[in-house]
Amino acid sequence: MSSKSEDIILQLSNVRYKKNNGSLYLSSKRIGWMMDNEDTFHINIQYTDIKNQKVSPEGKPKVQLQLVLNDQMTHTFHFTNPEGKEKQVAERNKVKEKLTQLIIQNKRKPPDELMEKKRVLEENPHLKELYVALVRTEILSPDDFWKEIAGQYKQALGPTLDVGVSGAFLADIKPQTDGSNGRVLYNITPEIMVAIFKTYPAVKKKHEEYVPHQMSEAEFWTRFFQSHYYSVHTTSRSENVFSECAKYDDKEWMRDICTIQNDPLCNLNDIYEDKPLEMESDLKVAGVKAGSNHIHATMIKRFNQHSLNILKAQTASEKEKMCEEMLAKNPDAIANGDAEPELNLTKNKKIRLDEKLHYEDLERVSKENKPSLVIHQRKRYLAGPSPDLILDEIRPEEASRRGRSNPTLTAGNVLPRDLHSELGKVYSSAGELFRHFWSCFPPRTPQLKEKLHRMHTTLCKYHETTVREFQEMAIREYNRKNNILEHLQDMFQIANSKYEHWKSRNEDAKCIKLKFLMQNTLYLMRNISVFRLLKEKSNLKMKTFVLFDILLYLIFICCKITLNILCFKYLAHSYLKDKNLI
Amino acid sequence: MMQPDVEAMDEDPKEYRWESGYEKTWEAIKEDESGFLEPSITEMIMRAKRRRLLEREASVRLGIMRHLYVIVDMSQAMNEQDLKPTRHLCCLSILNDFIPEFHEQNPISQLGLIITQNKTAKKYSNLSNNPQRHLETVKKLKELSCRGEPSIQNSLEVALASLKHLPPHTSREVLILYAALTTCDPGEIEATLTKVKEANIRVSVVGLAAEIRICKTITKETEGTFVVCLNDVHLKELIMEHLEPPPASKKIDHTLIKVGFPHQINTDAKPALCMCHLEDLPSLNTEGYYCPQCSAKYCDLPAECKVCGLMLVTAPHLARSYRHLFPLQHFTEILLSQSSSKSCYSCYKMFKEIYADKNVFQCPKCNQIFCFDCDIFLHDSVHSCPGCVSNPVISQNYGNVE
Repeated sequence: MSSKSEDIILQLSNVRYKKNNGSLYLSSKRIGWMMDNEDTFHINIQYTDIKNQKVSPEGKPKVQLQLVLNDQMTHTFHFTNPEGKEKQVAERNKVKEKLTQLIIQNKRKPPDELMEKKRVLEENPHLKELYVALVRTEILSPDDFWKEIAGQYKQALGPTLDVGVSGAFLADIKPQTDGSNGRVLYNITPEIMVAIFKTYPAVKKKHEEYVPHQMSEAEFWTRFFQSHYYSVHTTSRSENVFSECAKYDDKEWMRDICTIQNDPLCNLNDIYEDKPLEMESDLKVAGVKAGSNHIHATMIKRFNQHSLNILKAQTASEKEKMCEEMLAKNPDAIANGDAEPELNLTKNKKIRLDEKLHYEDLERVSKENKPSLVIHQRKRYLAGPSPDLILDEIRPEEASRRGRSNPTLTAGNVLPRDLHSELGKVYSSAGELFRHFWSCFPPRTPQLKEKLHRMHTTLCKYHETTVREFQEMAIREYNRKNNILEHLQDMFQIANSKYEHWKSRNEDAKCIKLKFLMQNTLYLMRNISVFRLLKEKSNLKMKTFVLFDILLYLIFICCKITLNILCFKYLAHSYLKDKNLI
Repeated sequence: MMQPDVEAMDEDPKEYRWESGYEKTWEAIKEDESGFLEPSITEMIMRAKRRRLLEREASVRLGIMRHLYVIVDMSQAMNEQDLKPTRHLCCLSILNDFIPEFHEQNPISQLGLIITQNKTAKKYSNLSNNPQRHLETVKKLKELSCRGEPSIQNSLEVALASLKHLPPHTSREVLILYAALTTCDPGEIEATLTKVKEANIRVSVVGLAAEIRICKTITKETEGTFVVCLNDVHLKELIMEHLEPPPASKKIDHTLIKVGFPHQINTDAKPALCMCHLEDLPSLNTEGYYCPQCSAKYCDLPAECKVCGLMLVTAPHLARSYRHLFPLQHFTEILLSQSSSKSCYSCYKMFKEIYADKNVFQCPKCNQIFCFDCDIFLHDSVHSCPGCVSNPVISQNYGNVE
């Protein structure tokens, strides 16, 4: 992990970290600090991990540089060149400039489509090999590759996660008091800024307006901390910036209070009331109501506003997403939900009262209905296969055992390194193709059938090109007599026979359908001719019972004709469907 | 029994616990006649275990093909030292024992690991049935520092993204080891809970700190269990509870699953590279198992064929689940005075007139007597009764009876 193998761009001694003397090293990819008299790096940070850097202000006795990392950890370096403060400042500034440049150089470029693909390929040598093996040799088109193979890789990476706003984020900005002149140092990271913007959209608007034209970042944030958001006592003179925010927040608060339904079990407004109620005259002794002191009331109100804003910041986006999903699944569902808010209210009340009255732990344990297991024919589980079968199997097993002792120890199976790695690559790319091939079975939908045909042609192509080449190369260059690709060719054979088998069965099905169709048409024609004959016969004058007979037969023939017509329709329909969509 | 020092108690009756220098732990511990101290907490845990074993009924359909994600909370709350040395290290060492046991007792199941810290979650180990990979991940996690706040919603989203693509006949489970008292989520956790319920995932939580309302709701809605541990021994018990397959959810399809049984001895086997170690260039030989469908080679079973997706097992792997199909009957509890024998049949311990041996256990079939420890051991690990097995009449008729 040492950066000695990389070029060291800058090296500075007399740099202290956590009260230890040492030296600072900057290389092209990382920054490191090593303590004096040691030879391993105590601190080793990649530039990509560094969020930003800060310097101590001018006029301070200590000349310091602080690095803030992506995961909110900080490292502070103290420059202590014995030659004097100017030298220290110069060194520190040099480090700062170099660091800025190097951070920018090492920053990840914004994802371009092509750049993104290149990056993915570079990060995964396995994927890169597959790409080279399959796309360069034109076995698989690039679109297919990115859609199927890389798509599965992306799925394995997992979902992109949003980060919530912690309830204590403002409290966690622990200000450091600088004892000398009463100044307080607030450490803000970009995460805290994002959290503040999410929670207080009014502040976000103000930030966009004022920074960087009218005031600098530092000034903006100083004013922020002096405003009502952070301190109880606001210095009213210079806070025009945030007083508008205060008015906006107050308006929002009144609106939200009204939307909170009248909940008898939870009465928040009561705490702000000043006048004591007559009923609670006994309680006057117990304590002063919270709202009686104005400052306390404002502070409580601000805390409540803060918490409500945090909750609102989160729920907005989720609710939208949920609404969209529900709409996509069932367009009528949302409409039903809004129509009856009152019914929900009474139901909710009942549920909540029930909740307050009953404790689950004190109730009797009710036996749940678990799905039951019924085992038929227990004996089959407990006894092995019947004895006569076993006898037949023993003899071939003995034979195989004898035959098996030879192959594994032959020296001919130890391969030279290059051939071995080539073989490995062929196996992995063939394996990928096989995986896609086998995933098509059983092909129920027309898309799967199409994919199956495509994969089969791809596999044939792959066999022709890559496998043949490899075989020839193995024979030519390494003079292998026994075929090391036998197993792989076996796999191709198995896949091929599976495909042929499926195709022939499918073809058979089509032939059978066609046959039935023809038979049905023949029957139909025959039945129609019999019908005609009978009709003629019935027109002749005959005895009653013969006529009756003929009538019955006529009805019978009519039913048969209807059946034939229905069969014909069905078979024709399915045959045409197969033909069109195949 | 040791009498507490009455004078000391009288001196400062109103002192708070933190003011007094000692905790009155001797009241929980009792001594027996020979002067040995038997920590009663262990005994309480054993009795609770026996009660749980009794509750487990036979003839319940179980989800034996399990896909379990273990979500470990790595937030700041894990740095507490109430479990020695820290909650973080204690948890991980218990996981070290849990993982190989899980793969041994559930050979056709798969395990994965997820971490939550700094308000996000990350998958550290994919679902697989190879315990080595998971053990290496646990080793890495021991070095990782615990920071920030956990997020239940994000960790459930990560587990969901992977579990929802699995075939419906498997049992999808999530086990959360949670030490924090809060969760910092980016949105409504109710939405995630709905998605989890739709995907038929069973979420269970083992709490290290206290009972949290959101965890209780999640486990209740998804038919999981929520328990909070008392100390490290109890924590181990609670986590090992999850080695047993849970009752199958009612929504699982009853389907036939295609399984391959490769033979180790192949007459015409050709030398091949194995598919499980392709990245490390395995050697070309015939040692291993060939998939019966596509003929890809694998070194170890059980495995899922990477090429054709067929599950490859051997018959003994499936036979391990027999103990759920044919469990050992519960023993009846009788008083020592009523029992016919003076010693335990399995360990030959002589029964004494002490509190622990007041009740002894009798097998209903062979009528042999067993002590409390042997009863738990037989029902938990051995799954057969030594009395029945050594009795020639009963063991021969085992298949015919019932």
